[in-house]
Amino acid sequence: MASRAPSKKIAKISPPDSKPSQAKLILALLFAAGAIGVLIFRTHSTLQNAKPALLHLSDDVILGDAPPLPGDDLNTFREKMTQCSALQVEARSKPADVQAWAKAGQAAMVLGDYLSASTDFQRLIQLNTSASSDIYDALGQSQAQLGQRSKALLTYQTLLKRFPHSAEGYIGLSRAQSSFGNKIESLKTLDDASHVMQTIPDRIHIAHEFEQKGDLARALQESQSVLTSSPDDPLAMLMTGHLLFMLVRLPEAQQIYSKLTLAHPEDGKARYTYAEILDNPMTKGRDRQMAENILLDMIQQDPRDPKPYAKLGAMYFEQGHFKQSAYIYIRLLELVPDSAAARLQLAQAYAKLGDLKSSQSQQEIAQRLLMRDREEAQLQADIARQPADAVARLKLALHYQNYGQFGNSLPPLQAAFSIDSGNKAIQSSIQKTYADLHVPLLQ
Amino acid sequence: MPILFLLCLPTLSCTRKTASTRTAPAQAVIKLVDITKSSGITAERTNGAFGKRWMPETLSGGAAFLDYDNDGWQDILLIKGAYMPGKTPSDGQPTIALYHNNRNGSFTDVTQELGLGIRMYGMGVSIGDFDNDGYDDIFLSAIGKAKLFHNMPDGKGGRKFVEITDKSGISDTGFSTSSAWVDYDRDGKLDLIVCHYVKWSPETDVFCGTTIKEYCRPTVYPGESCRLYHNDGSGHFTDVTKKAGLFNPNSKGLGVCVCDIDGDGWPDIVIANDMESNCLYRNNKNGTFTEIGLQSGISLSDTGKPRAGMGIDAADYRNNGGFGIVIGNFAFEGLALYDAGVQPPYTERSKQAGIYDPSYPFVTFGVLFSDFDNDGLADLMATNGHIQDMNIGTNPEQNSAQHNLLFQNRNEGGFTDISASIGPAMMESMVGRGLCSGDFDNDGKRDVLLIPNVKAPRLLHNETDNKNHWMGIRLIGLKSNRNGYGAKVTVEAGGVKHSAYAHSGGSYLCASDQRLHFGLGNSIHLDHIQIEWPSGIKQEFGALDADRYITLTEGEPEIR
Repeated sequence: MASRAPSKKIAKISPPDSKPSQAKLILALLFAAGAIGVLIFRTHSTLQNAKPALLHLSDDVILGDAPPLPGDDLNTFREKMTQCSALQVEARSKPADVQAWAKAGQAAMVLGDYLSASTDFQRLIQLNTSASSDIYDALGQSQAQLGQRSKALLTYQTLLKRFPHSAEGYIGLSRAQSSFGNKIESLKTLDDASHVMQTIPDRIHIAHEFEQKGDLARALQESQSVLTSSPDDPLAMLMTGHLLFMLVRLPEAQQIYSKLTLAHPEDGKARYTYAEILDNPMTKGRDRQMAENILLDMIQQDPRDPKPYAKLGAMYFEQGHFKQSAYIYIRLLELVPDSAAARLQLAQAYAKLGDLKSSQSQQEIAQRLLMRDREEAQLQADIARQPADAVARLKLALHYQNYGQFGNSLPPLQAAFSIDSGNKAIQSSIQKTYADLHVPLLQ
Repeated sequence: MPILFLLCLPTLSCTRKTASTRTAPAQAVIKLVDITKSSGITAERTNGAFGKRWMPETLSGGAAFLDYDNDGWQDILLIKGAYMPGKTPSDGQPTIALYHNNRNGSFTDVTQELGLGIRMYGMGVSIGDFDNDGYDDIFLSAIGKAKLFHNMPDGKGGRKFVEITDKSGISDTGFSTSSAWVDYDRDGKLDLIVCHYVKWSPETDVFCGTTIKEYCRPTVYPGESCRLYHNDGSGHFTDVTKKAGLFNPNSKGLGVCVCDIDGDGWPDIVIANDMESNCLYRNNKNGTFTEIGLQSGISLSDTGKPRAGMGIDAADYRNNGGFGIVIGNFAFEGLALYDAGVQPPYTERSKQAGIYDPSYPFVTFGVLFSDFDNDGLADLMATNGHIQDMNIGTNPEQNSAQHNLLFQNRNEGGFTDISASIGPAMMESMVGRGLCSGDFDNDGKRDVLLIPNVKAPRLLHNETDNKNHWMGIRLIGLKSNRNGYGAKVTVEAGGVKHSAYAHSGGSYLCASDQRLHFGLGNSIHLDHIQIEWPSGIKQEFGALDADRYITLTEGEPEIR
């Protein structure tokens, strides 16, 4: 797929507003689940030489209405918390039942109830001295989320004593060291890890962590080393290609992604980045038609993945295909109705189409969402600067609640409580939240 | 509003009164020649870097074109950094540098004589006559304490600058960046807006990067609000930031631009923030502002994310009476270009205008509109340079030194990247920061001053060879502020209207030639001039021959 090799010549695409001179083929009708609606992709194919056709979204799409903003998630989150709470109660009623604690811990992790999760996993480790590295990792992650940096550090040190080759152990330890500002130590931990990792996924995992730490060059070194020994390994190709893309070494990245997407057309991540490279202004031989083809095909394969919609909508807008752009953004909003960017871009597409009323309506929603996101980003930055500041975490929790995001509010609220349980404002907020959720605060 | 219709008096000849037939103006290849060596400008910048990669080091680089002695020739002021505490070499700290224009293409260093041999970690500069005495004063932003200098007689028939910061009431400490003079309440006295970046000090410096320290992103530090100082008269200012509605502790301002975005006659303020939302403060006409960045659409990228806003400028680049606002951003963000108007939102159209893709790889600081070929259409220049002083990737375009960009306005709202055709003046890489334009030889073609982060500035002489005509207008306010900042001037030539807004600020850390410059294409005269002064006075003038500088004084019919 998506190769420029002579044997894979691609059919010419007529401009969307012109009638195709050759046979017009409706290639695909995409029937997505309920809310997704129907996408009609039209391709133009030169049948005589049987060249493969590129997918293209025509301008006769019917826009439909953009979905409204969803309400708050209090009821749905309350329901989930009630179920989780029941598991917590059950585990506590059977203090020696490993399965019950494991089930409770997993449910708590999924919900972001890290207070419960840390208790559950601690108990699990007490009960089961041969607990897997995953349990330690889950405990360490819970502690880190709660701002319990010393405990997390200890957990990962213990994990590594028991499982000296655990990638998760090294990564968790490195993150815990980082949270104390020990950057050099944190990188040294990853460096140590790179010498003991044995499997390709673990080595790539470490490379990824180097990237997370901002050391792209080292990440690339690790990843390329894996790729050299296993040139056809999709994980190594994906990671190396990604890092080359991040380093703006586009021709090399393009080469890897071209090969990878040919060998693994099912790999959505690879295809997405390949489309990004093809559309990048710095790519020599920029190929937006191929990028469009890839993104449309991705949507066909997985209509619930929002990434290709966002990229495609922007591409159509830039090329002046405002109707297609609006159409794609509406589909995206059906998946992610509170996306500020999608609302904003839909407003712009509507304006270009002359539908000023709809544009204004979307613009107003976008502004509310942008305000929300801006506040959140600022609060997150405050926490990043001062990870031990309980009040900063409380502010973030309250921000989420103000915008009806109760699910998001729980982790920072619990972290605030965990860091400074004596703070009256934090006590009051956590008690009120648990009362609103109709579940007891178990400690 | 008093409207004066004043026909020009015989001081200048009022010749043709009919519009000339206008054919398409010549869009010659713009020719800019580096004449730094022959100009006598020898000052080199230091940013004080000594290996610790402290944040201010990578951001400094301001300069100004100004006519401090009113001789009609543009002088040059270079702002320098300083060595960091304990790192001063034996030959001492550098000072800022003032160069007097010798009127023959060369300049003479007059820093010491003029009283500017001061040492500070200077960032940027804004030029304005805050006391309306007819001579331009200087505000310098800085790391630490910003300074205000009053332009005074030296008692020997010349001029000198005297620091009056403490007396003025301007107590501006921290990390100030771009600044601008603006008479926001239209009381005839220039007020001062000063952008601030982040709360940084050597003590709070954060180790960014992995094993080797890099220059930090601004996200690791809390922001610092911009400050607005109200001119109370008698040389005193009061900090009115909160009262005026400009207080924003999250602001990480690097660029400021003053323009009347909604055409209501009151100056609005646009702040380019680095990795925070850009802000547009609409003037409420009562001494306060309302921030409408989000509503206007200029706050964020079209994907709803804040970009690394740095330099900023605004101009009527489409000759439709409105403003286009351009903002320089980080690598892979591209330049942003908004067409502003009365009704927000303003659409971002850098991609349609053809400036996004060419600017995409670069980290852009200084940006400005200027009609370099006098075809009547404002061109766009950008100076680029990465914030990291080492090759952070392995892509050669991501080196710290990058080439500059010049976009020729091809009308219909589009631009063509002609950087390569300019040659070394644009293409020779530098770590670009400041960028200002001014006509230092009064030949009617706007020249350019490019300021790198370190080492020598680059003075580019505009030697574009075409037959296009031009007009330069100096404003003198009487009821309005002396500089005429906030005046809108519209000229008509060959059936085309061109408008310009007199303002301070714009670009990055720099001040450009205040004289309003109009390229007139083939028109050998202009048919009509209209001035809307910030005082509310409107003046009109009839036909005038092109290719000269004139001075128009508020309320006076005489043209000089």
